[in-house]
Amino acid sequence: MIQSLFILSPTGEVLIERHFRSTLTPRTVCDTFWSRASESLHHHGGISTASSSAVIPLYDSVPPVMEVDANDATGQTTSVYLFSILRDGLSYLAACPCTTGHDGPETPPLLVIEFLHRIADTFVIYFGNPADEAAVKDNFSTAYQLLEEMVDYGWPLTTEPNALTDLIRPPTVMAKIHQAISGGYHSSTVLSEALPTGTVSNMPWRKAQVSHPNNEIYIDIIEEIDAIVNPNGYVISSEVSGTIQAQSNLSGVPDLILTFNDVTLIDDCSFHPCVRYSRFEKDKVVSFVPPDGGFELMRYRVSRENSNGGGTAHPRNMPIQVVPRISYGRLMDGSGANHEEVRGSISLSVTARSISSLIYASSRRGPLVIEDVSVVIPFPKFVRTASLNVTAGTIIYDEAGKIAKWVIGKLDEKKRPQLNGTMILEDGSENDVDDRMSSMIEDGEQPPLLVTWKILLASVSGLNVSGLSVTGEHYKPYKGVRNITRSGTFQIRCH
Amino acid sequence: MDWPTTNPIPTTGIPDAITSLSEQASGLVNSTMLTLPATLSNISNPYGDAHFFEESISPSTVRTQLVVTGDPSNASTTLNLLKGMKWLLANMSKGRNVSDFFSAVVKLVGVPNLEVRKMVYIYLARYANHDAECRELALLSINAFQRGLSDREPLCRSLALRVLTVLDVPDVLQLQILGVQTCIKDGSPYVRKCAVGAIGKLYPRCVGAGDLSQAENLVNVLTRVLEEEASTMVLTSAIITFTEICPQRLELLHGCYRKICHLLTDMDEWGQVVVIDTLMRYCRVFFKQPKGQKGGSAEKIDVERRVTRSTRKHVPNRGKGNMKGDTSVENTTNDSLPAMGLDSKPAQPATNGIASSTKKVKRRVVRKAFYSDEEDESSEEELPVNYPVGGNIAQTLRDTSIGAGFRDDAAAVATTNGGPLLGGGFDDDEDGDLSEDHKLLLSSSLPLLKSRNSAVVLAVCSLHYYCGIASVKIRTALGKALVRIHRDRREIQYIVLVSIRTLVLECPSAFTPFLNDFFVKGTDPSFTRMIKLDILVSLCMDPTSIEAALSELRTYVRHSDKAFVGASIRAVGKVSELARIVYDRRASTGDIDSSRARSDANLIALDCLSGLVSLSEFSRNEVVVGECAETMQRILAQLWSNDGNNVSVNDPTKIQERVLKRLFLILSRALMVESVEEEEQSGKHKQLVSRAARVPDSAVASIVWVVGEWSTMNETLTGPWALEKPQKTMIRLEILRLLAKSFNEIDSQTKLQAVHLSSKILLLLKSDPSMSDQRNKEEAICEFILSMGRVDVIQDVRDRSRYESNILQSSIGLAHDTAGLSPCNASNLMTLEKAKTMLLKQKPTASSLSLTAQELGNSDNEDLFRFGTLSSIIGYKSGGSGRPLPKWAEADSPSSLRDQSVLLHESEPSRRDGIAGTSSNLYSSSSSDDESSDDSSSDDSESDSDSSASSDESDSDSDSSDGKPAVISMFGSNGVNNQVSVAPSLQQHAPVPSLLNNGSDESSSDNDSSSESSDDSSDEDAPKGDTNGISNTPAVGTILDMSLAANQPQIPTQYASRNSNVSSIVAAGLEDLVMTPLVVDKNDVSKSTNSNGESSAWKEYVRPELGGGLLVKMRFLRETSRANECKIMGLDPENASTVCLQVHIENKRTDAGTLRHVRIVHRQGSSSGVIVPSRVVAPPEILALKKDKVSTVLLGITFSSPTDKDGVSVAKFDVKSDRGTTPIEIRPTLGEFLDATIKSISESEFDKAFDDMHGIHQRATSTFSLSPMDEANEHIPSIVQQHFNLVSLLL
Repeated sequence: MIQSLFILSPTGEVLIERHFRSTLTPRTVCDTFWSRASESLHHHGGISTASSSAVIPLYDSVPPVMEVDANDATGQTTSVYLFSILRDGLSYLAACPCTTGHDGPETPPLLVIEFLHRIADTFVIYFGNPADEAAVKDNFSTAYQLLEEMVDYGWPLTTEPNALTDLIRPPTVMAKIHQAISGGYHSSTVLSEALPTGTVSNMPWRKAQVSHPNNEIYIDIIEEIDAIVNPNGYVISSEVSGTIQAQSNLSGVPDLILTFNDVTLIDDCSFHPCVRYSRFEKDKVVSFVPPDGGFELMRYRVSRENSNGGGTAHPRNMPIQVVPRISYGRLMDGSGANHEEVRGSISLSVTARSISSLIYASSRRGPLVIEDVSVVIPFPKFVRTASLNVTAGTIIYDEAGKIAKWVIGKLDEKKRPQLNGTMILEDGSENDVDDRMSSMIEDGEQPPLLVTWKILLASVSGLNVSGLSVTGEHYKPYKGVRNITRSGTFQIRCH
Repeated sequence: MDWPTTNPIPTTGIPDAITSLSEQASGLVNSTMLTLPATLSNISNPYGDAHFFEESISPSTVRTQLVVTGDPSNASTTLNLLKGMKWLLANMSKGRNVSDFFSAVVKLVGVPNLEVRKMVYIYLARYANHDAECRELALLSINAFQRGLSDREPLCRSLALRVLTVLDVPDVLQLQILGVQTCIKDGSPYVRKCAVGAIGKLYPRCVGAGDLSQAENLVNVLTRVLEEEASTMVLTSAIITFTEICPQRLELLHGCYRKICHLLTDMDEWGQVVVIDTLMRYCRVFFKQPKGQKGGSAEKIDVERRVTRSTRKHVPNRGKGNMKGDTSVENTTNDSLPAMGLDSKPAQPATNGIASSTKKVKRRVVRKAFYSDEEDESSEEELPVNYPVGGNIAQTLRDTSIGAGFRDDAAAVATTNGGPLLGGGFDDDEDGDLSEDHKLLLSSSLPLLKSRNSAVVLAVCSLHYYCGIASVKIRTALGKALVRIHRDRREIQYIVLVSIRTLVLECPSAFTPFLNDFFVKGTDPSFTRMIKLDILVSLCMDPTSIEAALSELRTYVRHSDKAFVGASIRAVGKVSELARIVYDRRASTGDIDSSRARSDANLIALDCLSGLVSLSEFSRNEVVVGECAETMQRILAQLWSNDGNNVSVNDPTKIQERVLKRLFLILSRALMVESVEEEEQSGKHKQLVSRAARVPDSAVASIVWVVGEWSTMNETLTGPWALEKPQKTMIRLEILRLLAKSFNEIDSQTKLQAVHLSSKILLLLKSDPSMSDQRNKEEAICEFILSMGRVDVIQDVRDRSRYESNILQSSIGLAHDTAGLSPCNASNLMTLEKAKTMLLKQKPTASSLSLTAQELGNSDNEDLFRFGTLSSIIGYKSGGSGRPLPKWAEADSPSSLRDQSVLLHESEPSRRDGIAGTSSNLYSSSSSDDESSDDSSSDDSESDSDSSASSDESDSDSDSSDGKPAVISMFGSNGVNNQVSVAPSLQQHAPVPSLLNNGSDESSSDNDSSSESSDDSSDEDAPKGDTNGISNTPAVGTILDMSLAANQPQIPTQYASRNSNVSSIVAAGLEDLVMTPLVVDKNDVSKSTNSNGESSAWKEYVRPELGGGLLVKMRFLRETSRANECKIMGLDPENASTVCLQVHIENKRTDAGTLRHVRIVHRQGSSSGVIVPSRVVAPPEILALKKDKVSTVLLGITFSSPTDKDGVSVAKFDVKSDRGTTPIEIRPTLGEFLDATIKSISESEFDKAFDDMHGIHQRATSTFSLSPMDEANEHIPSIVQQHFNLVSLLL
């Protein structure tokens, strides 16, 4: 299993290095990795869809699994398998031998990758979102301690957040403020003077002896639309998947049963380990003892066939429409015919459409408001720079990554934000303008735009909670449910 | 519901920050909360730990910080330590060697502050084995860890153990092992989990140090944990350790197999992945391949719809009317489903083998599926009896499946027009031949498809694909789950997509509904784009998906990633090829007219061509145009070849003409560049040509081939490019001229094609009677090219040219360039026709479709193509050390192998402390029904009712053969249990009774009692009375019977045959348990006759007065009895250091009370000079032993090494009951290790044998004179003989 773990900063610097077995993987594997990763550092190998404010272009020249030669101290060359993930600009690398044990089966690749993501998730819980370079550097000793608890001899040990926060107290805001006030790190050790009280309970996901003054549980049903839309607004493909997020502040050991209004809307689903699978198989109810705090209860895919009461799993009418117009043409520079230049022009219009396939909650009042609207515009490689003007919101152009992000914010039907701009292209010297133009158009396929948005109290499928009962405890908790629909990978093609 | 639909998540105050952070992480997006982390990071930046990465602190400062002065718990000291340690960690991160601080750090292991201590541990783990000095210094820390092992807090204990065992210092290995052995008996499951994990760390070091016996010892410890542990937390860890240290010794899992299956859903998600993988290998080794795996209904459908080259042969096969099975999917599902509803009979489920006709098999398969529910009902009544928990799972699953109803689903499928079959119950398919244990694994793993952890989902898919049955329902579920998890982070997506790519070739039906999910998105990284493309192509199984895929491909060919564009263009070629196959198949099913089908397919091909030609006109990219040219060549070849189907290509818009023009232009451009002189061409021509892009050599070669095909085509007017003959000749001539001119420069591939083109044209000219002035020129150029080829530097070209020239020479005769050719000889003249068939004949088109693993010789490559493995991801055999999936066993292993664990598992909760016990109940994978059976064992009254219930059941079942009720009731209570090994324990001091003390009494009384008890059970007419007794105290009865039964393992078959009126399933299931009472009498006869010779005398180990009323006495079994018992217990009777004891347990309490939880527990521990057992098979626990009840059980011990000294082999046990614990010590005499093959020998024989033995110089002679002894002492010699396993001499 995992022999060594490295975490690299966005510039390839090693932030965390940890060896779990007696073999010390040499750092040269990181160099090998980084030299390959940096080949395409500024290309669009995909775009991070994380909700962080900055847009981080992702490299994609390294596959998530690769074989690397490692020279150990004695000069022997052994090959290790390098699993890598990229989160918030950090590269998490796990070096694994080929087999799990001596003469054993092969290392399961997905296990390693999934585990790396779990480590990154834990960092987010501890250090805030995004858990980027600054966050990890600021908390690196906590990060080491976390790794110590999460990994034993290369195998995952304790991964449930509830259990972990019992073992290692998160660096609280309180402590940070305390530090800030008292000036410097003179009193930085308010942390874990006492031993965590919780022993490891028999439900690893739930803390022992939870007690809340107010017992409440909130459930968010979030449905995400993945869609590919062509420039005319026609939906080429769309897919709806939902997650149910819960925030549980319940004392004791409550046993909950959640029922849905129409379970046939769920085509396929996955559950948090706290859910009893067999109950769902049998009765189509979600029966569980929740972890304390926030967690993802389940994920589901909305089935295609069922369209109860007008809601269709395949929305043909999206609530938002983005119409891109991009063209490249000759532009006289004024100084004479010799100085012809090729420029591009871009215009985008974003509109909200009240007639869409969404189902709104009955309690919703007022006109349609789409929140958190933003458009990410990746530019082709040959665009040198772009000057972009918007009628609403703000736009940031990242020259190195050749990506612009237009943050619009709230959008309603009356508002019709527009983006207009020109692009100045790279100078090519070899050919005449005609040639350059055609080759640019040829090479410079406009990558699709990415749109993010969110609509509260709306649902695509119409799935809703019809009941949530608590047994095992005597109190009556406050319960809240809401629906959110938002964009998943919502992309607009530009041709 | 009237809940408020808005939930004002409480305003985040500072104390709530933790929750707010985690909330955010989990995606509860609340815009107001976004501000908080921002301010937080602002605050934290200057005061975080980041500055430790800077150079601001000098090492000497750190040194002083790390020195503890004064009170170590002092706040300022702690702060300094923290700073120092953080600096060290930061420097470790930066790759600096900070091992010179080791001496300072090692002193800090005992620091009270936990945070400092943890950092110290991290440092120690990194540098403890750094160099000799560190190793030496590391020893200083051991003491602190050992203190930690006895800490009050379980967390501290486990932390200490983890760090202690991670130190790779050879000197402390023994201490580490000791620590593990202590902690493995800890009360906290978390500590036990860590201890089990530590075994994995220590094992390689033991092996490395050459201490194999110690390593073996660790394996034994692990095995015991596997067998007796009930906490899923520990079990998970144990399996992980198992794969670490002895992954190939799957037989060690027999005892815990069922337990693991039952607890699978409760394990932690990481463990599940490993467990499933391990059980998958177990399954292959110990079960036979289910018929349904390669012959399941889904498999059948997929084989048909899978597009392979062979499918093409369906067209000529069309005549065979009854091959209706060769239908397309839509058809298959639609007409086979009603069929099974109509004419299906429940009969002959057993014959559903692989029949000769595809259709027949499928029907029977589906029909079986429909009725299997009913059929299983009858056998299912046995299930709860058989496997208490498993039966309930099966019941649950079946319940749901009945609810769903196969018929309903079938109807649904019929209406959803060719969608996937969503049919049936869980076991709707051919799983009838699966062994129950195999089924158990499959059914208990299936719910995990809903795990949130994609690795688990993939593992389950893998298990069901490679070990399950190929039923439509299962395949659909797998497909759904995989598609679900593929929508995850991009790295996960990558692995899942690679897996899907493999799987989709084998079973496309699982993924057909999800075509749209594999469309390439803008956010996809390059490594997933290519895979998605492959999957899209593989899914082109019907006209609609072909259409959808093509329209997507049209988008992809304009992508900025040119490698991807190239792949997309190739994909277009594949899709157009697939289109022809798909339509042909539709035609073969009679859906549409075959010529219609062909022309439809041709339309698609033309459509592709038109797209490609536009692209090649538009693009200037060399790679793109090259790919276009090659793909166009392939599509043209496909269009022009009419494999058996005479449908002319209807091309109203003259796309082919356009394509050809374009290709010729590209060719001219390529050839002109090669020959420098062409640069002087006229301006206009040059400009025209330069508009075409340059292309790679392989594309040029392809185009030359196209020229050859086109120019030799018959249809001059209606062909792809309708031209008058002279024009066609002109083009031909020009191309030949260019080729001839640039022949020296062009690539070898092109040369080969040029040579071939020339010979084709020569042949064509020869067969064309019309003469023209161009003809001579053309012939000359062709012959020139051939002769150039004959002297080319490249061997291939030379050979090819000579070969083709010779054919031409001997058939038509070459006129111009004949250098190097033998003159045309009349005798071996070849006809023109022959030459034409050799060079001009229609060739089958090449296929660009990928091969499936099966076509590549599945069995050898299975592991490479096994989805989800490391090898399959990186595309070649990784490392070479990964074992392939084992081959299926020839036959199922007997289920009794796995019987051991059930009772143990049930009785576990009562024995374990509460923490371990409850966890298995609370989240048991099976339905709530089985909770009762979980509880039952710990509760006497319930187990009573249980067993009586089951005996009722069996009563009604069986036709009142007298012996049976008793038998089955025993079985029902907990009869599955044969013997169980119990945890090791360590204790000394056994009251060793004096040798002659009432020995004879005991043995005689024993003979009585054993014969009595066996009389009881052997008497077949008596069981009525006996049954009650037994079912009241189930455990006693079972154990009693078993121990006696064990002597004659060959009985079961007799029993089974004698009771043929019992349904065969019951007999099979009960086989090795039912014979219990029968064996007794038979055995008893033999036993009473030769028990003196077959065993030592009884020896009392626990006296009733000291053991709270419990009497325990034992005797050593010898010879055949021993051998038989050893076999039963799984010990090796050949091993001389194995002893087998018969244990007599009796309740002699004076107050008539019941003794509960009587058990014999091995205590492990080594002390010098003695040989300890390496393996102990202890008898199962006796739950309750009523007054005057007797139980006889077996105890098997294998000592770690043989010995030649008397009394050095010692096994220590605790005899425990609810009335207390008595330590005992079993010290077999040397004689017990000897195999007395000779009954008795004469003195002379003895002397002779003795003389044969060299090297023995001592001889003790003693003479007994028996006469003066009185009656009482008469037996002494025989008693001595019996005790020491001696043989008397016949004097």
